[in-house]
Amino acid sequence: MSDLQNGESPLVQIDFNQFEKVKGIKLTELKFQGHLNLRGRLNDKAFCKAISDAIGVELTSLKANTFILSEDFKVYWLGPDEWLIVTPPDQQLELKNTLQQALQGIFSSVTDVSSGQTIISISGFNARSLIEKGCTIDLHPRQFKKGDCAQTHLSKATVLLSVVKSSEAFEIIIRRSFADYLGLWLLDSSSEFV
Amino acid sequence: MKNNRLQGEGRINRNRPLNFIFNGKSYQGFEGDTLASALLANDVHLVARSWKYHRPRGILGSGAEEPNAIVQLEKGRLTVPNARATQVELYEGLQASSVNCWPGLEFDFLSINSLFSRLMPSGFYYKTFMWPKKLWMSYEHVIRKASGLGVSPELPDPDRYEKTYAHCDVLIIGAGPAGLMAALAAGKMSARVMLVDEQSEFGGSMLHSNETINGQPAQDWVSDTCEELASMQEVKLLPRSSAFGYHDYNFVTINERLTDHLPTGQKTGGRERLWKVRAKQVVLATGALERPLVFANNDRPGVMLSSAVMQYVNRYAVAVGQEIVIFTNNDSAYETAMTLLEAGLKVIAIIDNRINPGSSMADQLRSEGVKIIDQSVVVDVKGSKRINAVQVMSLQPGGDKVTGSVQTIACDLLAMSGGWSPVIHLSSQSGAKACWDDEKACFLPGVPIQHERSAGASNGCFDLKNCLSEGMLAGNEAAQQCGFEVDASIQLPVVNEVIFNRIKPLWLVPSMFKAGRGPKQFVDMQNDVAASDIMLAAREGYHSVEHVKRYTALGFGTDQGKIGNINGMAILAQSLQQNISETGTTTFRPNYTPVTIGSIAGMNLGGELFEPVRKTAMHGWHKQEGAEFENVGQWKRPWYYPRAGESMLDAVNRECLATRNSVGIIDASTLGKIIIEGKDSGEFLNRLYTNAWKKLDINKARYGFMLGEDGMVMDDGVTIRLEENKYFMHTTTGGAAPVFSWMERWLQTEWPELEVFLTSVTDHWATAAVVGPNSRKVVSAVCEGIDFDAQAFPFMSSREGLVNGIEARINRISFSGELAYEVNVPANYGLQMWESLMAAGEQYDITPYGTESMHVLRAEKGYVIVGQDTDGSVTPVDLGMDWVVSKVKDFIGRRSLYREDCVREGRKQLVGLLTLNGSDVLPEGGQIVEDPNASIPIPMIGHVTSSYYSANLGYSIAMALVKGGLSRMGETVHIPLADGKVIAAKISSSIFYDADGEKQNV
Amino acid sequence: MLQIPCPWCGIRDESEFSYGGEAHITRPLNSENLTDEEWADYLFMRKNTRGAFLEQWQHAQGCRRWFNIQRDTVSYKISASYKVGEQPPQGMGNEK
Ligand SMILES: [Zn+2]
Repeated sequence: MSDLQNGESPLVQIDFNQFEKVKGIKLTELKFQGHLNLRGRLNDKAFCKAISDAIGVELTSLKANTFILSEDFKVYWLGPDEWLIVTPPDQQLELKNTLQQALQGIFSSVTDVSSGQTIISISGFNARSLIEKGCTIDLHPRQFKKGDCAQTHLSKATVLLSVVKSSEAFEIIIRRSFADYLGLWLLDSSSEFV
Repeated sequence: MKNNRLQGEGRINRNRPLNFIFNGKSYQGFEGDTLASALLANDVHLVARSWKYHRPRGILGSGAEEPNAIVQLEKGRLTVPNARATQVELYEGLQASSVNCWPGLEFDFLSINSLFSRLMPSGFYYKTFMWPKKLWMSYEHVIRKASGLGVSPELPDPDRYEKTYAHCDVLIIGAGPAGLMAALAAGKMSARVMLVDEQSEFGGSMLHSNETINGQPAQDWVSDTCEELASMQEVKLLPRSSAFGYHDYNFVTINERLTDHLPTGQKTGGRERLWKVRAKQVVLATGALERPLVFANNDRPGVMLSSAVMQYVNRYAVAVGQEIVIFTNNDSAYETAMTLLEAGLKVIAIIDNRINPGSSMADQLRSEGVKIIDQSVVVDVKGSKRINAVQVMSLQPGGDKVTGSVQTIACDLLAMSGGWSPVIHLSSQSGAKACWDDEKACFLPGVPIQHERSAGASNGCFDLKNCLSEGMLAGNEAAQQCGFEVDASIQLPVVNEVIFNRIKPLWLVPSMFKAGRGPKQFVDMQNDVAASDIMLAAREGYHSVEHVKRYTALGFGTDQGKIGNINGMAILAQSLQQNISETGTTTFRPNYTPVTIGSIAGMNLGGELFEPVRKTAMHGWHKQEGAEFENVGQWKRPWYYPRAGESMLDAVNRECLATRNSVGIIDASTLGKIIIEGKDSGEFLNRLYTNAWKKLDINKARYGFMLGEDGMVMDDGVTIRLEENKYFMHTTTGGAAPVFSWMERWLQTEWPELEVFLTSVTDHWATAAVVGPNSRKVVSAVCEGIDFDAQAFPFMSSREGLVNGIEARINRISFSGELAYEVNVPANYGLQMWESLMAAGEQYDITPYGTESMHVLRAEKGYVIVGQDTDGSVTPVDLGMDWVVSKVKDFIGRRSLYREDCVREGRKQLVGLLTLNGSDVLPEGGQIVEDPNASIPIPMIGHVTSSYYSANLGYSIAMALVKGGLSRMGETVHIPLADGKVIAAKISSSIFYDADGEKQNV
Repeated sequence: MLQIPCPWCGIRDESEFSYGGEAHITRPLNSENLTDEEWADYLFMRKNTRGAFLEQWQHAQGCRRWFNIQRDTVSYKISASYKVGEQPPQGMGNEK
């Protein structure tokens, strides 16, 4: 168990208080979540069963570009043989061990990337307009609904964008080294809503 | 000063007078005016001098097509060149001045060009100034002063420019009757609609029309419709927005002006927004532009487009003349005449080239005393800065020659209409090939290539009733294509039916002079292209319309073919004795109207957000310690840490000495890190790297070279075997992303049978390299659970332990030749780890060092940096590193190493260079020659790739790629410098320090 | 700007993709036995088709999958998108 007190989030340099003057946008960081990258083959029944047993998610029924909430875990589709599991803070190592145990002898890979990325939550009536300033994906609720996710770029940073509530609440998973850039970009881009 | 404001209402707000300055004089207009309408209200017709002949010019049109009233807006940082006065909304305090006038508008020194215009035919600038070539620079200076449009701002643009991506089902461009109707139809079907129009108000021609819709003035229908559209949730209305580019895959770029209409002090936020729209379907309802008629002196102030005259009267309540003559070849000018009469202005005569152009309007006009002179043309006008009369002649039967005597009619305004050209610019940009319509005498949009359709005047439909029905049809059809069902409740508004007589094309008005002789008959006023220029071009052999365009400058500038194109092409066709379809039209390209560079560049130009800056977990610490940073790819890496009073060299020398003598620490987090997992990982590495991997022990590290398939060095790094089937690869900082993509490519496309998964962990791990004889003491003080004994934890091995209770991986690897450990922890704890190491190292005076010292230390050992000592044309053999290339297994790039070119004699090889005078430091990139006194060009035998002063050695060292270098040890070569000095250096081994490698094995 | 159909993610903007050149080029297994000319043909020589062309792309800022499309090099129209390992739709193929 690590000591979060001494940890530092990738967005430590961003002053989130500055977002308080922005109308229609609530921006927070979901710090120190556990992030596990999972690789495996869907046509490998043993793999799918091991995952289903461990976290209760049937990967075969998780559609491309969607995510699912299972107990405390969020599982995102990243590719036909790649998923991201987000856990509450400090549960990733335990889950990683559980998965690795379950996947013994099965072609797979479970990698802790918790320190490599963080989550920014953006909600409010201007949330969509803010993201649209740097995102080529159609975010209209008819197209991008609750439970959808997409790997794309926001301005010039690669992100995993997901819809928590259609058109109103989004989450952005951003790599650590790009987080500061994205934080500054969000701050700059939201200036028109102040 | 004369006031031309009419009693009628117009769409101006008389309760809001606005003061403005034009060419230094103060005037007043009203809210709702454009700069052009306000100037005309103040009886200012003369607004510019033309660019080539410096002829006086007045306002011709009322919109984007305006060729003459091009003004410089505001001053200093906020100045805007080339604004069309017809499109500039008036605001309090606006300042504008004419372009192309020196020393002033009323007396223009360069108008002397006008007297010699016979001597300045088309192509004049090409012909005169192209020879002799060496004088071009000074010619250019003169031409720039004498011609060209506005002045570019010299100060940085203080404005902010927003950018937004948008998606919709139906994008409708143009909010005239067709566009509004299309939006209404698609909107009612619940489609996501965007309706854009370049004007501040929606309505297009309806804003100045006399027609009624559903028994109400057209303006009322416009406001009702806009209100209804505004209430629809999925309809987005964008006024003041120019769709200026129609690109592939229905990608349309739109420039929205957010603050240009506001007084300088009231502008807040972004000035403009660039909309990048992907539309499933597009409706082009961009309207039509009226064509001028081409007769002698048709560019004089007081000659205007008929539709513009009507617009100024009806929309802006401005009488642009008191005694008016109309010259037309179609019915639309009769409506202007009606409007003028209603406004109480005097229409003296209508000159029509057609025979007995009878219509209900003609009859009515006659009854009101307007003389309709048929089968006649205006051959010339009198007056220079403002016309005072027109000269009229009759046409011979057949219509291509004039006859009889000249009739002079006094007037102060000539309203002309040469017919209408649909605005097919966007349709043409979308890829559709425009087609000529003889009946309508205009180009029509071609068969759509993309998901678009035209409606209304832009589709060649010039009457209101059909505009509305075409609009509705287009809206329905576009939304249907997106999967929506037609809303049956929608009804077409009721309008009066008007019967139009056919236009009689009149491309070049006949006169008593031979074609091309006599006073200039202008085709393109902005570019001073006259009919004679086009005929000359044809005579000189320019037959392609694209060539004529470039030779004459027809359609250049802000015009982009709006005013002169069709007349010009028709005149060219006549000269070549072709028809217009054979001649064709030039290709319209973006942008339809000028767009600011700021809008295209967007909000992050030049600022810290222009390119992502990647930062490590310890970035804040480095910054606080005063590090200077270096860009490595997108990363910011500490370059060196200067102390007070230290130069860069001082700092680097100190850092290098401290590291070799005690201990240094460098942030190595930026190196690419990839987890390779699966039973075929070893086999995969064998194919990827030049050396063998399967026999590497667990927790051992090995250095590897990756080649391109062409055999050239692509990347290098240390890879560690973590488990039986799991490896941890390091790439170079810059190579991380491309190498990861490269590896995925081989796995996915060529070797799908290999059971290997890759996961990037570059960002997850923070890495501190602790380097120097005291590094073991420092690292062992911080890391728990690891036996740091030299034998227990040997060089090129890896251990897991804890740092501050956090999982850590320590790799005993070295890029300096010193005893060194790389400490990795999850990056959230990177700063904490770094600070712990600094604290533990305090007693050894641990010294943080940057990339510069890292480069010096590795160069002392002769370690290459891929991308610095290699350039994509260097093999491992060239680097003298055959030892890392397996002779027994295949790997990517292997076959290429045996290609003829890779095994030939005389390839450039990596060697060391020692300057004969040890204090001389060679410049990196310096060219190497054998004999500096050889005759020029001196054969070059290589170049310096890395060069530093080494404080540890006390002299400079360099690495270089030299032809056959490995067999030239001890030879002296020369490096000539730019200042003429020549430095002599001796070729040596590239290992300068601790050649036996003892220091890293302690 | 193109819109490219990723076989996994559907239509996305070109800015998410990186180009991989001509598709269906197989790496020779017996490179040892190839002449320099034969090896150079594999290494350097590519079709420069005017018209329908099979090419590789990677959904670099998306699912990271490599895949193939058929794109018309004149009109930029993309008429097919299929996974690596799959054959191009019937009747499609780069000229030999
Ligand atoms: Zn994809």
